[in-house]
Amino acid sequence: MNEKSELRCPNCGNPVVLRESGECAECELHVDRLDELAGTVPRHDSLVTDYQEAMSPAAARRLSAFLLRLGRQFPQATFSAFFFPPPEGLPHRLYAFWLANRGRFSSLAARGGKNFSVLLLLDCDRGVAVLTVGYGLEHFLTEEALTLCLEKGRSRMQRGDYAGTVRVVMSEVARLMRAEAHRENFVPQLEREVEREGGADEF
Amino acid sequence: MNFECLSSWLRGSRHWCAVVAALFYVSGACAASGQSGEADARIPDVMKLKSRVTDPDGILEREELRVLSRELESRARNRALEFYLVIYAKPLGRDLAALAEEFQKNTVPRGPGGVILVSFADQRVSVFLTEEMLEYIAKDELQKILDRAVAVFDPTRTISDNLRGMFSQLLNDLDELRERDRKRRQRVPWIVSLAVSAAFLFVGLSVAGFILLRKHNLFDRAYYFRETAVVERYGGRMSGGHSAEVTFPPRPQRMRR
Repeated sequence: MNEKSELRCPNCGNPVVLRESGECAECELHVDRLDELAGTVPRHDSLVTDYQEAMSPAAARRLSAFLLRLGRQFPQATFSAFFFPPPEGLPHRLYAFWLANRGRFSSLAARGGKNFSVLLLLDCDRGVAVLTVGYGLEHFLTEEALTLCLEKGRSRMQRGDYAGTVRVVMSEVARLMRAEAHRENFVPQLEREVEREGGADEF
Repeated sequence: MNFECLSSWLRGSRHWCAVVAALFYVSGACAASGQSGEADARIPDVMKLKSRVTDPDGILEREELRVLSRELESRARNRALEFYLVIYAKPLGRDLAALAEEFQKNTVPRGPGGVILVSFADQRVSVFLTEEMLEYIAKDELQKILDRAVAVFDPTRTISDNLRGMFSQLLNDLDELRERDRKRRQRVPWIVSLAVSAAFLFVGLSVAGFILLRKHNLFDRAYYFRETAVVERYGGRMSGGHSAEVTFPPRPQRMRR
């Protein structure tokens, strides 16, 4: 884990201090409260959801294929791009936090430290991009690293190349993830091997 | 020299071409008579030929000599083929091939060319070519050239015409061979550059393909992370809102697709 990373509240920006109910001690942020502001979760795809017509359908298909390929490199992770304007009055960062929890971009089993999802929320009309990650990745990707990934796509954002932006940002995230995975050098024991070992013990 | 003698000489020369091709001279089948080994006054001490056609025994008429000389001179001028012709009517006291070699070394030491030595007495012809000529003439090729040169002989024509026809054919063939070799040599840099380009292209494509394969993870390389213990916060089961945000110029309405 990167020692420099310090987790902050997405609403008030203070270091994490929680009440017993799980709310932020400073601003009382809780995902249940956001439900009232955000409304219902828009229908979406697990890879690319383009409510703002930021790209052509063909480009969206190509981007989906790209994110799918990227996901194959990280079987635990999901990479999603969401083009949507949050409701008025709801900050983008908070909406991304809410969407990451309510949107079910990853499987239901991927909870807590098992969640390695990466969500890029883009609001082309207001010019805001938010990159948020699941619990599993927050130890590997600091806020500075995430900002750096977004900065890599800035020039394309300015040009209006949103599909390219997603590609660049997600590629950078994947690069950092690869580096961290190399450092960790973790190889999970496959279920079949576990079963085989268990079976061998019985005999 | 009459035509009967000439035709018998030709028949014999065909027979000897095969033998002499390997030694780079051709000779006619004949009885080598009168070769006593004594020094011949007709052979100059300094073995350098001064004119294109040397005829010490006066076989050819002056006009014929001039025409032949002009023919060889034009070859030398236009095609840079330095050929000299020596015609002897009476037997020589020396080996014809050795004599031709000495003439060649002293007269045309280098560059494309050679010396053609004809001895009518013993009906032999010796051709001695320079190293440069031999570079692009294969042994079997020389045999064919000589065969073709001899084939142009026509008993109905004069000796001079026949000689000129034979030498023209011989020199044309040699010239053609030289041109072919020159063109082949011109093609070599192209072939080399093409081969090198193809090699670079192949390597480049291979590297690009490898990079693409890696980029698209077609080697099926997968990376895993260790599950970490976290305290879920703000009611979020999947994410704690760890995020980054940047702003950029909003999209103009007309850019909507």
